[in-house]
Amino acid sequence: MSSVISIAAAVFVGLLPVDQSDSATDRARVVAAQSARVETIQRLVPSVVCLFNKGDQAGGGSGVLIDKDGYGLTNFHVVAGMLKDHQGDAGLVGGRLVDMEILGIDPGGDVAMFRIDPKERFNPAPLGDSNELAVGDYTLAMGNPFGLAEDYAPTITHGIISGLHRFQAGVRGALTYTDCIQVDTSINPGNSGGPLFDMSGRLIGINGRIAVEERNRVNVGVGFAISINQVKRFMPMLRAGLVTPHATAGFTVRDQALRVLVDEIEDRAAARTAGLQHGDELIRFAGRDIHSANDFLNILGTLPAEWPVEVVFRRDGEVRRFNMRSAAMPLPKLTRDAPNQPRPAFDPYGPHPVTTKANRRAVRRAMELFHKAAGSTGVWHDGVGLRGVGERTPAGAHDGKGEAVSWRIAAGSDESIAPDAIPDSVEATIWSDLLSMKADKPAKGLRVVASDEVRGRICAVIERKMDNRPVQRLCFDDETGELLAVEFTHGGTGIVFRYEYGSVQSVGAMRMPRARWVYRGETLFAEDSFTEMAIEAR
Amino acid sequence: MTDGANILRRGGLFATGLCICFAMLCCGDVVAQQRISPEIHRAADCVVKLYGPRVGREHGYGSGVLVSADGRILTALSLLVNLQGVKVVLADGRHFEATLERADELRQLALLRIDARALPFLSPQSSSELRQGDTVVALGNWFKIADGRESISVCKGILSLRTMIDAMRLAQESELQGEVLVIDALTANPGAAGGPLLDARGRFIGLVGKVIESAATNTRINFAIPGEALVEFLQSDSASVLEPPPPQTAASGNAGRPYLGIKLSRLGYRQVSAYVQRVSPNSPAAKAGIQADDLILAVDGRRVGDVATFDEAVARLLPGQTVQVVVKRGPDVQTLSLRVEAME
Amino acid sequence: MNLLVALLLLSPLGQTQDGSVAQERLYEEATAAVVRAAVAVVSPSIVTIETVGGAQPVRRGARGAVSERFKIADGPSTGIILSEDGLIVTSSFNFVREPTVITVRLADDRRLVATLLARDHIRRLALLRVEAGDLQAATWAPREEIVLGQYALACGNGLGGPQPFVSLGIVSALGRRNGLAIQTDAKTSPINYGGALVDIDGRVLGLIVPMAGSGGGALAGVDWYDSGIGFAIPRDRIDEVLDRLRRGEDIEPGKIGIVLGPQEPGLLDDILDELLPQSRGARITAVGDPSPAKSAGLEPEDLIVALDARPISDLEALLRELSDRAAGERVTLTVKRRWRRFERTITLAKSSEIGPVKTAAESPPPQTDEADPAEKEENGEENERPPTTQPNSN
Repeated sequence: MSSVISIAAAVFVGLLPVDQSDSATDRARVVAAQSARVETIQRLVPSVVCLFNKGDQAGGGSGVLIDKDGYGLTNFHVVAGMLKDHQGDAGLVGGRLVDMEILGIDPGGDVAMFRIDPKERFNPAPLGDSNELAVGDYTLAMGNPFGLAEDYAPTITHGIISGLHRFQAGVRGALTYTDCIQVDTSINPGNSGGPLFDMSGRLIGINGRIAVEERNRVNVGVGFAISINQVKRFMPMLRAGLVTPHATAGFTVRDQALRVLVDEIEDRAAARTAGLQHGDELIRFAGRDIHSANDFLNILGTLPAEWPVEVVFRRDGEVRRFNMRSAAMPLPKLTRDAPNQPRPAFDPYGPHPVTTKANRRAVRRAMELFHKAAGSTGVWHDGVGLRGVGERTPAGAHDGKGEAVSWRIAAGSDESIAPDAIPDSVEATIWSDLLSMKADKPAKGLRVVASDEVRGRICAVIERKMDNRPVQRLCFDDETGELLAVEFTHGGTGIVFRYEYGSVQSVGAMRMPRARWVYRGETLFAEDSFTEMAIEAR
Repeated sequence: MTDGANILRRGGLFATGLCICFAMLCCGDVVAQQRISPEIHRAADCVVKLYGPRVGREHGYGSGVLVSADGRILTALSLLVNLQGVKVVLADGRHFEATLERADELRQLALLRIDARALPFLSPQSSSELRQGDTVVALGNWFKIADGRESISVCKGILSLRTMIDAMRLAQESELQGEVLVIDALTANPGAAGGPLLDARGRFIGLVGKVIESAATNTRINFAIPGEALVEFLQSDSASVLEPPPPQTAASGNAGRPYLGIKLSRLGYRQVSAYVQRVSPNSPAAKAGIQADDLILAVDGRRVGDVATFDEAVARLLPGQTVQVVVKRGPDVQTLSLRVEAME
Repeated sequence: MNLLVALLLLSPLGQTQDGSVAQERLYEEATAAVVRAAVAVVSPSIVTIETVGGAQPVRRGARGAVSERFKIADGPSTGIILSEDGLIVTSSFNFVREPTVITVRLADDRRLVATLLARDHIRRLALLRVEAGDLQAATWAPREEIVLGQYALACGNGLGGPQPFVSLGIVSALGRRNGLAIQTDAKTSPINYGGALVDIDGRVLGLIVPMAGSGGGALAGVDWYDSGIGFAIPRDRIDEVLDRLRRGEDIEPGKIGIVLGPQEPGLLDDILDELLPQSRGARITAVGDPSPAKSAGLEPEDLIVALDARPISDLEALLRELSDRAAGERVTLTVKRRWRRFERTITLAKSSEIGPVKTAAESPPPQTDEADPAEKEENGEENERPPTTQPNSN
């Protein structure tokens, strides 16, 4: 009913002359905006949960469900006390209290993922893009400040974005908020872990900190939320129950007037190997223009360990660039402050039955999405094969002339391929295995081990360990399931080969990439473009 | 189905389609992206971050507004600006050291100066057009969240009320005088004072005031010094700290102490209500009709809660003035007109 | 189709940057006008309350007076005209200083002396009466029409009136404290306690009061002022106590008359917990004499496991359940004593009716929670209820 009202009001408003202003017009405009907000809130409220320690309704925080399978996000500090058995309680709107499992944790960035068993259908909030935000944008925060919800109905507050790309230092390496969103939307203790939405109803941040002053721990108009774009990078790992370390660059920078100069570089850092030197002027890092040391710390803090970054710097007037993978920062120590407190008998970062199951579930999910993206369900079966032909352009070839290349993927091939077979054949076998693999019964030895970014898309990295064969690494787009990259060590030479994919197009009922980049070690070896592709019966 | 009904049905579908299109245009725009206007972005370029040493309970950082292209900065008067070596950081990240050019105790304003040229600046304007309910935007570096060239913080609210306030700052009476703009945005935070208050069109109509508590509620008040006071301050040319204005003299010349002829019940200790014990015959109070056992509630618009506030209210009166005195007599409240005379 | 295209082209709602900025400006100006209109509708029904006399309240601890952290000022406060014949409803917060004289100033500047009829310490209300017959009573919005996310304007005269101070927010939650209050993120503080939270048409959604999460004394909730967590009591919850208040009857929090302690489960209890999951509850450490608990035969070490069939998991849960019950109400307690469970129905009593009061106070301040352990820690004070031991019988 309210949507009809809002549409009707909007029509009325839309037909009004722009500069007319009388009380009826004013009221209509305000009612239209109000109705739209009311409706957005109604749509979002079912995604918001109140989180508690098992069996204990005092204290606690908030969380937000992000998909129909019951996965949700919250702050690490909300669930830090539940890591002994990774169990907690979640209160859903309407008064139901359900079991909650904690999956992966990101103590450095203060994020955690949990899962409930969603017995009722609901529409989870879509994820937004925090790069699209602007100061002044209105936002909605939802959560359970001061535990006021008696029936788990969250508190809704409304305010604007006061600042972006804010840096709030953490404590001993934990709970550092870099590149975070500052809002004047009221956020209080208990809101932690809860969602920050834009007015279209997209999740743009996870609320977690407030500025406090002499007035106890009460909102004074300054709240901080972790940006959703940061969270997205960690999500494949969190979903799989992993503990996620953050990136370190391997070098430090300092401000010098309005320039940022490289200061110290660790001996074994990838940056040193790549040729970075003390005194180089850092211009761009991981896609962010760098104007201050804070800018550098900000973007660095949003990256998981081993994230690929592009470094652009200036030396002697010349701009240079290189790519590297960041190293890992040690996980923060979770020791207790009080000297007489006993050390916890368990390792909060240690493996746990819940997280092992979570990893397998994440693998199944990746395989399901993969099959959906490839369109292989019901289409790929014994007796079919994929054949593609195209042109391979070797890297550095200036004459543009390539050579012919073909891609043959056979279904259900049980043939064990020799570890020193040519890389193209190994790659084809990998595709074949995956396409033939049942989503609900993936092969043993598959494990999510990391997140990665391939051509700007965030993916889950699944490692496959097999007897007598080198380890394979498979990168699946975490949202769509597309296979974005495969990586393996060539048995004969020991060189790591990496194939990346793009330009997915239809092939009959399936969808397969038409572009392929082949990397030999760290360097691009060739670029393949498949002009013809078909599914054939063999 | 008849042709008419068909046309009606199709017309209905068309109208629905029209509605939906408009709804997408209207609601989407009105609700989804209410961006901050370019004028406010431009104003943000004129806001500076101030840094100095911590002194006592002062936090040692604040905000200011560039008001001239050659580096004059308007800010709130505080210990911070009275000390040597206040550091100024512009929106583009450049650092300068500022000197104090002028200060105004009454309006709680200060003018700093840095050695720079061709800077973006804002000119304060009168806030007289600002009405209750109008959008206001405050910019500033509260909690010194922003460093260097990082963007200044923004918060938004409405004008809550234009009023005089009796204020307390850090448990002492504040020197603040005059009307202020009380706003519905949480600006009572360290570092916010000295930042600009803008209206919806980005006009500089106030300066965010220091953290004070209202004596009426013992709670923090979010307020700004109105633009007209800023304009006056910038236009006045006195080169030193202003003295409070000399006590007003009545037009008829003789400035004696005010005399009312009221004797209150005093029991020798504070916080006693202002009950009238005795009214001198033929006194201004007697002529006004004030009687013994009346409880004085207000004098000349100032609320009287006890003997002390009565004395304060009377001290501000001038012989020759006619003022309203509000008294409670039994179950009634009466407002009486009293002409103040001079003490012999 | 051509018509549609033409209309779309002529639509003033451009998707351009300028278009959206112009849109926002229109929207803000419309909101400002609507705010002013709503304030104009409700102001004739909002009064300024001025008081004379009274003092900062002190709490009584065993070691003497303990002053409240928040110093209550004696500035003006706000009230809402409930009936044209002189009933004014406001917040009990405005009379914590127990003033000797209360006057009310109307929007037209008339001043009237007011009598404090009664206070509801659960809803944090106070009812005043003035002698007048032509007051403009406020219009209230029906509770069922209040929706989550709608605009809510908090209006109050705490800065002097008659033009009220206004804060604009939204309705944050529809039912808090067992449905007693609606919640808003408009700024609420002593400036508007006792004032009106109104919708865009100036209809009152609720009376603004300070409130804490559960229970609490006279000042509970004040430390949340301006935090974006504010509460207002809607008309239906005022109506349910209006007759009693009009008759001069104070409504006080209902007490059982027990001292509660943290649950310290022994080994046996742990085993029992496995077998009987409902053996958690609020542990009694002492029973007041006289008290409803004493009359019902409750003893130290009894565990209250349910109140009116709602399970109680611990001390906090019991306090929360009790915090909105008034003295005089009957409740049924489910009690666990060692391995037995039984029920007792009691009539809740006022604090003043329970046990011998140790220190004589001029005006006993409204009691806070029974045996609030945080309070105990904070002030190191013993509880006033005299611990008694009972023979081992039921």
